[in-house]
Amino acid sequence: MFRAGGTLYRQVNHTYRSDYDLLMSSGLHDELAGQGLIVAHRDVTTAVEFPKTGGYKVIQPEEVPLISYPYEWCFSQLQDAALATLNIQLVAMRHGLTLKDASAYNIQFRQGRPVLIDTLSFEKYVEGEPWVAYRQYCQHFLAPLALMAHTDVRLLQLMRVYIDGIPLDLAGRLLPLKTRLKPLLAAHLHLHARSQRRYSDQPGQAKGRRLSRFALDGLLSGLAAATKSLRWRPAGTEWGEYYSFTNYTEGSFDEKKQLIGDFLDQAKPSRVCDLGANTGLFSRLASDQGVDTMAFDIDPAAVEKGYRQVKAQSQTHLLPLVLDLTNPSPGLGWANREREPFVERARADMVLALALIHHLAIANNLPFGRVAEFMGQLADWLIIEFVPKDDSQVQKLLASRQDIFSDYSQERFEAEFGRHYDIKQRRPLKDSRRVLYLMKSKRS
Amino acid sequence: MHLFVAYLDPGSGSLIIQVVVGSAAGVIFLFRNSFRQGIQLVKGLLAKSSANSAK
Repeated sequence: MFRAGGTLYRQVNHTYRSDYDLLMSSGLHDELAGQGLIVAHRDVTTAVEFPKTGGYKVIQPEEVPLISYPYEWCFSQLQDAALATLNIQLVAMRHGLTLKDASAYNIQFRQGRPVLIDTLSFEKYVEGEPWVAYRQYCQHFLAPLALMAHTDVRLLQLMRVYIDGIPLDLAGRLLPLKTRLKPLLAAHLHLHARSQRRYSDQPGQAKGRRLSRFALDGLLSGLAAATKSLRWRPAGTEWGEYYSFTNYTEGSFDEKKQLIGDFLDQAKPSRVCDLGANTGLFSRLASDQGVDTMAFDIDPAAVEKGYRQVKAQSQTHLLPLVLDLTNPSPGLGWANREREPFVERARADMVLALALIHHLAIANNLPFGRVAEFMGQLADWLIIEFVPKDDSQVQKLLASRQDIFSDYSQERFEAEFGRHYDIKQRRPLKDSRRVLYLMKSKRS
Repeated sequence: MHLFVAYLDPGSGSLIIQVVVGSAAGVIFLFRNSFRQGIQLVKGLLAKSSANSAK
């Protein structure tokens, strides 16, 4: 992959020539692109120079506006990504090709749907050959989904540590005993882990093993059934029911929506990053206007609900994601550069930080200045809600701890944020002592 | 703890279990498809005979 003049390109080398030609001539690329399962690309070989030797083609893939990683997805996003991968494999096999990778990182969400971004993940299918991506599918998709469904939804965070998917022996230890009685999970996870252990130091054992096309179809059908059978219902978490327990009156809630809409009209962002978005109620004020919007929240249940709404209402500009803002996704992989950190990917024109500041300043002891500095790294525009100390939500936070936050005041908030931002608007919310601000970075 | 899995795993175990599970799944798949085809055939024959008797 490389960029020239701000545009993303990919060099196809001569070593991949035959597979690339088959991908294009078989009609697979066009069928997958037509179904929205792969990012389409244009052949621009004649217009763009090869950055390295050995080049056969230069292609220009469609760019996905918002990049996210599996450890930021909710249960249904990972499940949809898994099923999309199997679907792509089935379509590929009909065209005489097969996926050589089943990495969750090859899937991104575009217009609310999972899409394969690695155009060169295909190779010619040879009758009798096993599916080389099987292990990766189990580690990247099936094991984390099973852990989320049967043990704890938060275990998806293991994907942050294990960049090539959750080791199956570890998944096996964490899964409850009952999963050993489920034939598909027993086979693809528990027996699979045992087989990995058994043959880990016998590389020659797999040589010559063949898997008929019929058996491969059966394997894929079993994987799809195992994946679909996993369920997780978002309930009983802190934020999943947030809007049922807020202290807004109906009037102040509507006014807040109105004000945010006005601020959006004023700033006209083309990309918004909503921090502490819950299910994305306010994010939708931006995304419904066609603004690409990332809605981050720490609670997998809230993100799950947000994603289900995205699917149910075919919302194309909103991407709900799981993120602990006090410990955002770092750069991962080789030299910390294989997976970009949150701050690189979340850059936007505007940050929304609604009813968030008290959680950062009081629950997490973060000084206003540090919060302002961080938000300033993400975008020039900021819509932020100040929640005063006497607000019932802040009082809840203080109920179980000593109030050492003598600096937590509106004056101090304005002074600290004022170092980084110009305050463009300051609007108190009706029936409340909360204040909504529109700010613009001094750097811009 | 099998450190080999972390450092040296050549993927043999995954390929072998795949062949085993795939073969078993293939047989189930075959039976299921044959069963479905059989049901369809019977349904078709029944529909044909009822159409004939109606004439």
